[in-house]
Amino acid sequence: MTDVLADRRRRVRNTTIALAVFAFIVYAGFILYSVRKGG
Amino acid sequence: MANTHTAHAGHDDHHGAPQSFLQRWVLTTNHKDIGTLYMLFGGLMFLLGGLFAIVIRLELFKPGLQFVDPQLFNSMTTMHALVMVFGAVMPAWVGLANWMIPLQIGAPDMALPRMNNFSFWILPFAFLLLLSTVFTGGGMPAGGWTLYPPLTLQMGDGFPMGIFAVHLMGASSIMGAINVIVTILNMRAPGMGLLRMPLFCWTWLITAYLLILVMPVLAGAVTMLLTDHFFGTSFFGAAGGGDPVLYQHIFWFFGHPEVYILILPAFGVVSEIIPTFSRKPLFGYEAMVYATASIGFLSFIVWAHHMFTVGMPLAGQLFFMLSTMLIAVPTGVKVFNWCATMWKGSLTFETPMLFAIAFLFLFTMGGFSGLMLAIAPADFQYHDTYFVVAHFHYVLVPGAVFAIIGGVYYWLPKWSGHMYNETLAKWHFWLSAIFINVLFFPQHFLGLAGMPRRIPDYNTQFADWNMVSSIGAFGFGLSQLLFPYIVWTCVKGGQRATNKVWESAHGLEWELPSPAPYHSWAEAPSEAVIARGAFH
Repeated sequence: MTDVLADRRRRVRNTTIALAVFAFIVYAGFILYSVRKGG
Repeated sequence: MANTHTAHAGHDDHHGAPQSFLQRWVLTTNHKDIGTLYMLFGGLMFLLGGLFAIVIRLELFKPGLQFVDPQLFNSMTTMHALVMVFGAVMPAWVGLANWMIPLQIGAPDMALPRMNNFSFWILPFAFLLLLSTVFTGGGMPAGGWTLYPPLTLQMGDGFPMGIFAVHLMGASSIMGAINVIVTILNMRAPGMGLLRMPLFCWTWLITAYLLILVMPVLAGAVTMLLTDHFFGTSFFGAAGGGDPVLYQHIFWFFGHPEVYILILPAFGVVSEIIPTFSRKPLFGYEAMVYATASIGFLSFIVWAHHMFTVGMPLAGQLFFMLSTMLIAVPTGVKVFNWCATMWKGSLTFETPMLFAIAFLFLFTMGGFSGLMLAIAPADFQYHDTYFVVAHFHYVLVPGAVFAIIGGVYYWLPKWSGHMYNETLAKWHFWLSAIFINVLFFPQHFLGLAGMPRRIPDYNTQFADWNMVSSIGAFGFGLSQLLFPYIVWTCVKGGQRATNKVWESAHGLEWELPSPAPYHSWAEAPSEAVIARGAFH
C-alpha cells in the first residue's frame, strides 16, 4: 500500500513538473519568436 | 456497498470542516470548499460584469449621449469582457471542476490541494488590482479586452496594474489547469479507466490542456506590451521596426482556444444532464470524447479568422476559413448525439434539463452565425459590427452561462443536501430564456444593418432594435437576481435530497450521501460501485 502511495506521489510530482516546465517553455518560446520577428 | 459508504461517510463527518472561519475558508485545502469559493467569486463577478453591461445597454437605450462619457463607455465594454471571461465564467468552471472531478473519479481530493488554495486566492487580488485602475489617472482599461497596441499603450497610469492583473489571472488559471490534469491522470480510483470517466471530466481534461498551452501565450503577449511601454522595446511598434499585427496573431492564438476553454466544460455538463433526464445512456460516448478532442485541436489552427480584415494572403484566408468551418463537424457530432440521446427517451423537464435544452438550441444558433462569420468575404461586411456581438453572446451566455446555471441546479442538491425551489427555478429559466433572446437576437439585425460595435452613440436608424435589446438586458439582469436567492434558500433548508437526487442519474457522485461529506472517497470506491455508476 505504501508503495502504491509513494508511486502515486512520484507520478503527481513528475506530471506537475512536466506541465509547469512546458508552460514556461511556451511563454519563453513566444517571446523569443517575437524577438526574432521584430523586438 | 452503498450502506458501507453511507456509514463510512458518517465516520468522515467526525473529521468534518474546521470550525474557525480562517481555517475553513482562507486556509482551506478541501476541494469542496475551494470549489464553493471559486463559484461564489464567479457569481460575484457575474453580477459586477452584469452591472457593467447594464451601463452599456442603458447608454444605448436611445441615440445620443445620455449617461456616460465615451471614455467611460469604452471602459465599460472592456471591463465587462475582462470581468465576465476571466472573473465569472472561468472561475465558475474551475469551481465546478473542483467540486465534481474528485467526486466523479473517486479521488479524496485534488492532487495539489495547497496549490489549489493558492490559485484561488490569487484571483480576488488580481481583480482588486484590475478594478482599482478606476482610481488612477486615465481610468480603467478602455481599449477593448483584446488589449491591442498601439491603442492600449495609450492607457494611463493603470496600465502596469492591468497587465499585472492579467498575469495573475493567467498564473491562477495555469495552476488550476495543472491541478486538473494531474488529478485526472493520477488520482482516478482503480478501475476508473479514462474511457469510463464522466464526460464532464473528459471535457475538463481537454480544457486544462488548452489552458496550459495558451495562457502562457497571453502572458508572453502582455509581457511584451509591458516592455514596449516601459523598456524601449518595439515588439509591436511600427516606428521601431515592430509589427502591431504580430500582437493580433499572438493574442488570437490565445484568444480562440480561450473561447473553447469557456465552452468545452459546458459540453461536459450538458452531456451529464441530458442522459439523466432522458433516462437513457449518452448516445455515442466515445464519439463525444473524440469530438471534444478534435474541437480542442482545431481551436489552435483557426485564430486568424478574427483578423480577416487586417489583410492576409488569399491562401491564408482560405486556410483559416476552411479550418474554421471544419469545427462544425465535431460540433455537429455533439449536437447530433445530444438529440439522439433524447430520441425516444422518457423525458422530464426539471430545471437543469430546461437549461440544457435551451443550451442546445441557442448555442447551435450561435454556431450558425459563427459559420457565417467564418466566410472570409462575408466577414468583411460583418466585422466589427453588432452581428459579431450577437454571435459571441449567443455562444457564451445561453452557451457557457446557461450550462453553468444548469450544472449548479443539477448538482446543488448533492452539495447542499436540499432540493431547490423548482417553481422559482423554472421562473428563473423562462425569464432568462425569453429575455436573452430579446436582448441578443435584435443585435443580429443591427449588425447586418451596419451598426458598429463599441460605440456609445449611433445613427437614429438603429434606434428601435437598440431599445428592444436594452429592454431585454434589463429583464435578463433582473431575472438573474432570482438565482442567488434560490441557491441561498436551498443551502439554508428545504426538502431533503436523496443520495441519488435524480431518478436516472449515473456517476460516482450519486453513490455518496447528500450533502456530500466533507471528506469523500477517503477509501477508493470498489469496482462494483464504479460499474454501477458508469453508463457504459
